[in-house]
Amino acid sequence: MRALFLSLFVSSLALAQAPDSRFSAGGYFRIMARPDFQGGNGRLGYWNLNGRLMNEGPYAALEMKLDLLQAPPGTTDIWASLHARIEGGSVTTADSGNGSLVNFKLSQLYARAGNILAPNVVWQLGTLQYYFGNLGLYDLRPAQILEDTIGLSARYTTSRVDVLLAVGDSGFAVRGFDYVPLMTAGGAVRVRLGDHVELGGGGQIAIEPFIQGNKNSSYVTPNVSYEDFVRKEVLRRFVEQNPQAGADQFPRPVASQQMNVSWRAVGYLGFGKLGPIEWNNAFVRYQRLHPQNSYTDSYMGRDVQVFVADLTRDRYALQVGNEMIIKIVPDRLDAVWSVLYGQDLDRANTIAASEANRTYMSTVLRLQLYFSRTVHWLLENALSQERSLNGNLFRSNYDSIFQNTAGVADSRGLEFGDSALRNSWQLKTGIVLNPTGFGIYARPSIRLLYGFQLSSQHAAFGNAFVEKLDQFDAFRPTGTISWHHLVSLESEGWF
Amino acid sequence: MRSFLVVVSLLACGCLPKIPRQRLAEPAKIAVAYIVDPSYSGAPFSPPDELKKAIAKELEDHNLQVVELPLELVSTQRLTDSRFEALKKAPQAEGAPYFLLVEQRVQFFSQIDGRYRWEVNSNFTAARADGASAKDPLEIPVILMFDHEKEKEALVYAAPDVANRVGVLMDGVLAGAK
Repeated sequence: MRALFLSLFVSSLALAQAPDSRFSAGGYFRIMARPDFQGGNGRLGYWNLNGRLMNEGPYAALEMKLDLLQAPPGTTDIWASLHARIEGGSVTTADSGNGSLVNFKLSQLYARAGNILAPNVVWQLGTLQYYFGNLGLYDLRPAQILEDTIGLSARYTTSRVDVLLAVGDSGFAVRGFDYVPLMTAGGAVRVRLGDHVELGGGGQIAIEPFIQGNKNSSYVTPNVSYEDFVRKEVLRRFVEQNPQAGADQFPRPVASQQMNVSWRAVGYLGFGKLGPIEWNNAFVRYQRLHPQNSYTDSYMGRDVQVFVADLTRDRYALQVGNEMIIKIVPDRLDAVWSVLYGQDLDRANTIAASEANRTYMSTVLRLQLYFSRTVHWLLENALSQERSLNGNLFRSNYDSIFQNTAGVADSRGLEFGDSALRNSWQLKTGIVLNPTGFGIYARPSIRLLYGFQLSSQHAAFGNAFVEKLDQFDAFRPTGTISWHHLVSLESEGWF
Repeated sequence: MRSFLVVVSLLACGCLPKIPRQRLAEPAKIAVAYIVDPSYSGAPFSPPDELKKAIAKELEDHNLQVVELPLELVSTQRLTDSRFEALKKAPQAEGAPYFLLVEQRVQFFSQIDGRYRWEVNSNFTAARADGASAKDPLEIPVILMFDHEKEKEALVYAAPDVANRVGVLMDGVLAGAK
């Protein structure tokens, strides 16, 4: 036993060949200066739907690897390594977080080991995140599984086929302080058909067993209407209907008749090395979200816990994306073209406009012209449309605060604004310095960019403009803001 | 005064002696063997041509003519010293006044923010026929875009840095050559 313990902490004697450090570290960073003279927060739009460029804030990630047990190459000796990653979205004075460590988390921690029980199998214990690839222009990974799961996985790898199987618990990721165990199982298969085509598929399922007496388990408060739930007026309605009743007579939760289950399925098709097409990635994900647990409803100084599993169990999300990398003129002009479509559905919610019931679609084209090996010119064009499926969700004008359906103010309405549609156009251009040479995705990059957004929504970016009537009277905005201009000096890289 | 001394010291660092770029007056042969050891299991293999060409170009800049030896010559050995001895005694290397052994190993590190990070470890052993030798280890991180890009793509990505380091090593080996 002592020998085994010691062997974990003493690198094995490599008989020859290139040395392997026991410790190594890698990571990612992006930092930018984007003064915003239009009242925004330094990002062109609300989110990455029009591409990540100029729509993301600073970020830093550091992953460390320690080889606990190094195996001589070409042998079937056991090897093991430990990985830990710290990452977060705040870098000193580049954002309002001022680089506080509150904005960072230990997002990955796992041990890997190989040559145990079977050859070509890598065991992983800890966090289990796995994805088939990345939509680089959007910084999205639709075909991702197990990023919420702590457990054990086995990954079998050959030159043609990868197979991943995993089991674990995703309770803390889904519920946080309201933890319940979510037994999670998942898997993925990736097949390489020659040098030009890859296929993949996978999924995961999480099952929440009911635990009698656990207030975080799948209880439901009976006779709650969806509208009262949306308005957070469940207790108010109860009091109105039972004026003589005390708080202790508020309906007690009962076990749901349905087991809480969530799942997702993902697919992937990759092909490339075909003429000017360097590579094309297509991803799809369809998932059922896990039901929520409860919230605190307040009325006239009284608080009750309302359990909502049955009201939130029919929520679905679909996301489809494609990205093609094209070498138009080698070492002179490259392009990346992406499309994205998504649909979020909350079948129980047929009355309130929200991002839980919407569709969105977008296309982004980025061109990069190489003046020299290191000096490039970038041009990115993006078009997007978001549509609310349950009525108005967007304000088209600065005074839309007074309007709602058909231009009529409705302070009790379940809509927001005067339009169900948000159309946006973003264009970004500028000079890029890439010390490592050609390639749209070559990093590190130093960029000086100008970008603008034209949106059908008033001030469609993170801002400090008025949203409420009392603010309107105090600050008196005078015009609709459809255009948003930004200049950005930024740097990004992996290391 | 203290500031002045600090500045002078920093400037002096730029004057630290370096081995100047070496180029032989007359072309000479150099016997070169390449081997990439597997990460954990599998068989050794030869690095991609892009890396060999980058190293060959660097050696040609030193007026060295590459005589590449077959992988099998060194892949049957496990120890660096044994491999190098096999390289020096190979019939193809007969008459060559210089020898170079390039041993490499490529390991996957992790997926980081959508990219695939690999580590290319290299160990160079070079010698002159008079017995003087030098070794140089090198580790280069490589960031790749796709899952289907593996060891060979990582080696291609690292080729310019690897070749440059071989050039620096050969500067040292050639510096004392008669």
